Amino acid sequence: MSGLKRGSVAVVGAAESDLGQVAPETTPTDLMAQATARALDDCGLKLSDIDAVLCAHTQSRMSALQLCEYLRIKPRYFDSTQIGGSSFMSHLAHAQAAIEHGVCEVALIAYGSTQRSVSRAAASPREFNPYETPYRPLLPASAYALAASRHMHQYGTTREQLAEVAVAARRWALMNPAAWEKEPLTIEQVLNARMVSFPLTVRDCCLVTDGGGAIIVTSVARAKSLKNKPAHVLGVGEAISHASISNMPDLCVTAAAESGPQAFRMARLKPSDVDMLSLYDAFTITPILFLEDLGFCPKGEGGRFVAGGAIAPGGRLAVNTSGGGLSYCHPGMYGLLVMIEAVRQVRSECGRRQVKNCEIALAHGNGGVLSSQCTVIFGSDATL
Amino acid sequence: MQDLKKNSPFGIYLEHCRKGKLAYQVCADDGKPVFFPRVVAPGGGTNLEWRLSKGLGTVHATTVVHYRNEPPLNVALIDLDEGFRMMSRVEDMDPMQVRIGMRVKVRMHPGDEKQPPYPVFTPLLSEEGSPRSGGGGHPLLSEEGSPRSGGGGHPLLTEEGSPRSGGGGEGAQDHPGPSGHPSLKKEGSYPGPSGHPSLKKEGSYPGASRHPSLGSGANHPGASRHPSLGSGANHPGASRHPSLGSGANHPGASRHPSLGRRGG
Repeated sequence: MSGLKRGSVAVVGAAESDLGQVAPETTPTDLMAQATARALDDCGLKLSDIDAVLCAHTQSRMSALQLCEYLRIKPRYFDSTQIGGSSFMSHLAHAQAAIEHGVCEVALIAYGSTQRSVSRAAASPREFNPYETPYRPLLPASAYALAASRHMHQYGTTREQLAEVAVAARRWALMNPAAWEKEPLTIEQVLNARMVSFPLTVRDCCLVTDGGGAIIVTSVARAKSLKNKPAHVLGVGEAISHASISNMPDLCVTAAAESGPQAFRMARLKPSDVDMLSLYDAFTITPILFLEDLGFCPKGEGGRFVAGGAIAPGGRLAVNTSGGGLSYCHPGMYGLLVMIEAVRQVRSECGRRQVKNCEIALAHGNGGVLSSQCTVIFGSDATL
Repeated sequence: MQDLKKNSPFGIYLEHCRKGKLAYQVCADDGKPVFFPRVVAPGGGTNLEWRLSKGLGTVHATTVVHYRNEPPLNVALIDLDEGFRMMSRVEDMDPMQVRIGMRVKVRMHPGDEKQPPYPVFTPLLSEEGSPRSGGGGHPLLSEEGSPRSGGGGHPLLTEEGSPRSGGGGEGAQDHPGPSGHPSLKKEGSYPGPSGHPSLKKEGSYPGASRHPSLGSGANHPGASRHPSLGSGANHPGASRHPSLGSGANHPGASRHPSLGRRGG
């Protein structure tokens, strides 16, 4: 996205739905509606203030119709861009464009999934690809495992370094009352867990939980009139590179190498300005790739960067302070929750896991099989 | 341009698979290979020509899937010599021993009533009877000499030493298969990339975490720690070949040309 204005919009309301395991027959729309009500409460706006709805999930094709029917709202602008877990960062960029252009004023971005309750197979049926399906890759895990194999071959990244990402996430999760995982985790436990698709064990893979969330985005002028400290949208970037892993141009370089610079350029910031990173951790390899591609370490150095607890509490860089998709929550498409943690850090709402003086937080979303990459940089009032 | 009412790109590809051939396309506008088959080439060209691959390639990436109650299954990305990449499976060997950089040769996996034939790959055996990789020969096969086959010479080579075409035709029946080759029974005794001088040691995948004597058990408590690595999880040098330096200037670190200028 180019042509958008730094700080023209802000996230003013943010809330999770109930997470983890919800009651039988709960629908994704129930979760989206619950999160919406909580997000409105968070910012003091009313349902009638919302004039744009952006959402996507995997359990039905026309999620926006279902959410608007449920809440009985008729938005002027709607968008169901579906590019996987990064869709919500893309929704935020699209909402910003619409708000800047005057097409709408208050946008709701929402998500919900009951994939744990109904089973992953039912929530997200695998699409048939005649050039991949016959070989029975366990998707998406095998696609990420193929990328990890290449990163290990090219750069010497080890299984232990991948495990460091999972161990760091768990240490953050233990400080988050909303996190699914409640027990400590060691590198040995990650390595010895059930193998899914080598080199990834079940502990290298994100959780399979129910869950959802909602954020409310509005113009900076409108944001100033509301009760919360806004999380200003300083920069956005989005890029897509492929659909299937066989067609990824370079297994060790994601399109975060495009979306990140777009967002940094718009925000007029650089990686060293960032106080907290919320990096979509679908698998342990992904934060390693994104740290490289977003410019936090040189290409190929991501494994060494995360070693020794560098991204754990007390480390060099605060990453995934919620506990991430690996230990906090991962309801299929996780990007909205990635942004909510970044918003909360900038608003100083994270309690025990709060990063001191967190003025700038970067939220990076990944979709498909490393297929789509979208970056949002949030800032406090001081950064405007 | 292909008339989609007559035939589909996948349909034509499948016809070739049934004849034992791996087919791909080349865009006549720029000469670039195209896979998966399509009616419009990447970049918009509509002059696509079908070609038959010689079926020789290199393993680009590899994983092993552990479906419950099934033996481990190899899934790999293969770079064919003609310049295209496809997903496939390397057969006739322990799935955990498939190595990035290994040379492989296509053959057709036979079809049945549920699944049409599809291409898979096997380790490429050189004329000397050793599987080929970036460097020299396979340590086990060189001791055994040439691999046996059902009939006369090497199943993949004619007597003149040139490879037979395809893999799904008569050649496939001559191939001894995984149970026929004496060296392929030695699961777990393959020394792994860290032990074999001929194999590139850019990384330790998957050798550093798998001691050859531990076999294929993924949940063996010690399975993931190479004895030479000791107990420290953060040993910095454990999986970095000394010749590689810091890795920051590795040629692979540069940007893939298709991604354009950084920040563009």
